[in-house]
Amino acid sequence: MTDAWLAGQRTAFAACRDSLPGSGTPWVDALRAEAFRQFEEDGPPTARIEEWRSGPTAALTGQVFAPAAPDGARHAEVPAPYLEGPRHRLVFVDGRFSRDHSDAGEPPKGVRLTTLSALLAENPQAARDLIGDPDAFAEERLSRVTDRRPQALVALNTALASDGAVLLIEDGVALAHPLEIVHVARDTDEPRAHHLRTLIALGAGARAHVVEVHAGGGAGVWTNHVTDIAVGAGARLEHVRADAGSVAAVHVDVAHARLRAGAAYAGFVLAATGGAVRTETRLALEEPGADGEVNGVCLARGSGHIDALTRLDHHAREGTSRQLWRGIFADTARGAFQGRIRVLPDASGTNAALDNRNLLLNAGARAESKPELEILTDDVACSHASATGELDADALFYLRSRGLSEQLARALLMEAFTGAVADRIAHEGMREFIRRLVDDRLHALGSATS
Amino acid sequence: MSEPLLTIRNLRASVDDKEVLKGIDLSVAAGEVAAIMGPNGSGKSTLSNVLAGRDGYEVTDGEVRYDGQDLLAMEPEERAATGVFMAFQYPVEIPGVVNATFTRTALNAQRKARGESAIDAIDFLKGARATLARLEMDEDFLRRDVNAGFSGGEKKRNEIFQMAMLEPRLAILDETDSGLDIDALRIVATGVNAMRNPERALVVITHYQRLLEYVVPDSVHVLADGRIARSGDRELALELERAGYAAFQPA
Repeated sequence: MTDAWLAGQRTAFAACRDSLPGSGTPWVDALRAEAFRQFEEDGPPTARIEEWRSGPTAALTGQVFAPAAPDGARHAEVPAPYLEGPRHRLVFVDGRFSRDHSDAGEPPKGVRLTTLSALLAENPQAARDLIGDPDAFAEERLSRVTDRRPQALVALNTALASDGAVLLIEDGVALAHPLEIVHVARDTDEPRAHHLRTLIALGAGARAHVVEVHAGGGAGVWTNHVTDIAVGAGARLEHVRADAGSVAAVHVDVAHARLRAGAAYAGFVLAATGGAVRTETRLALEEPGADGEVNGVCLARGSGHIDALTRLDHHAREGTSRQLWRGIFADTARGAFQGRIRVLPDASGTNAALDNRNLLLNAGARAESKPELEILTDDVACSHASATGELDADALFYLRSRGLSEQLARALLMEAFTGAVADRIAHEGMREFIRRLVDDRLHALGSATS
Repeated sequence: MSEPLLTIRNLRASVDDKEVLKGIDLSVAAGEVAAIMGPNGSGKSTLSNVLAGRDGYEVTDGEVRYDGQDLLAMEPEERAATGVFMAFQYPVEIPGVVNATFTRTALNAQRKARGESAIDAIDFLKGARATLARLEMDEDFLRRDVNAGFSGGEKKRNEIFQMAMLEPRLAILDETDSGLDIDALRIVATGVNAMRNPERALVVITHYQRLLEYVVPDSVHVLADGRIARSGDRELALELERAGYAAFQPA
């Protein structure tokens, strides 16, 4: 099947390479060609690749997805805004920016809020300059990324990215209102792929809150989404990613962030599915005193599969990082968490913690937890904890003896289990949105098992 | 006299195929405070667990009637909704669930089951604050997670707080006095006494007599080897305090 799958990607690239954003601009064309070559060299993800050991490889390569066609966005069913109150909103339908559904508002001076296609079309050279370090951006961030190869899907995304949100903030500027990025994938009869690229770059001392939501989906949808993030010295980014997809979508969501001195990245991931999800978060704490937080809630039902991977690399001294992950798996769903803290030789004084707990609601559900510590220096404080179990029978009985129905008691315990993670979201509006979404998804889990 | 609120007839129950309750007969009327005393291993905790409806206890014979209904046929939450409250010996810690939310959710779940309207957050808070003041409990209790990190005494007081908020018709207090210092015991007893009224029955299960110095029972029953071995009034508790359970232990 993978031969046919690879052939499908070749056909796709040949068919759309001349119509993708930036096409005709030499450096963009060269980058896309190089990225596709790298994708072919890396080959499709398989269980033989350590990082994909528990990944949804069969769901991914089991059908040949063609790139989604750029039509009909106008008539798409787009969800109402998720965040209450003032916000900037960019909506993408089937991998393309939808002006009709977006409301970018008026970002403050020093903030460039646009799309990948607009940036590359308006002034590709300026786009290159705006990005700051074009070589690093092109060669590392858009294709080779910051971690070990193979990264075939990131390379494929670079080759085929049809659009995406771009947020560039100058030194010392704060984006007062949150940015809501919505990706809507419409289900079709034919399997369709959506390659989206989000770029977020914060200058020194800048501030922003960003939520990215994936909506829609369906049995024939593969989303391959990459978010590239650079957080400048002393800057702070809160980044929430939520998959609100429907059953049987294959959803691959990768975020890479590079942190300069004293920078802070606070990330939250919600994966809720009956389909297959692969979520990756890779942070490089490149300079002293950076702070990285990556938390997540994974909720799978039916025959759903969630594979979560984190890579937190401490390159420099006095860095801190925290990871708090909770998973609930119902029916015959399965989950895997691979979380790694790596402390490199120059990163003395690192303080890093990782905590992963999973609940299994049914005998058929499975969860695997694989925390990894790789410590290459002394004078560090690293901890990790992981546990997998069922809902506490004593707690259930206690709640029922007070009058709560079994269903309500289970829901309350599951809410408590995941609530501690959602509560870490600093922005109130984003926290409330995620709490509502988690409650909604927990309800789906509850009804799946009752 | 009308039918007792709680009637236990020839109740037999097993745990892991071992018979622990060997034919209990007991009646408790509305307005009555009944104390069930007994040595360790006599079946006290089995009795309370059977009455609360915990899994793992097999009733092999007999019946329990509560307010004219078959108590044993009801789910734990149905028992709660119909007015039965169990103050547990070991209240469970539930991190992540806030006490106020939990207690109000429980109250409203019971009210809904009885076809009554929900209590809104503001009215609930008003009642909760008054109850806390009566129990000499800090308002902070409402914001803390259910029993999480509570001391033994705080957990027991939290049980009494919930009892006061839920206003049951039959409250069963399982070893509520265990692990309490004298001040906590006095506060718990005050809370229990405040619950006494002609409509309500209280069953106080205890090893020691000391709670009964503060919560004076109308009847005292000695549970030994899975049966009520003797029943009497308050004097029986005092006698047990002097002579111990030796007379009721299997030879």
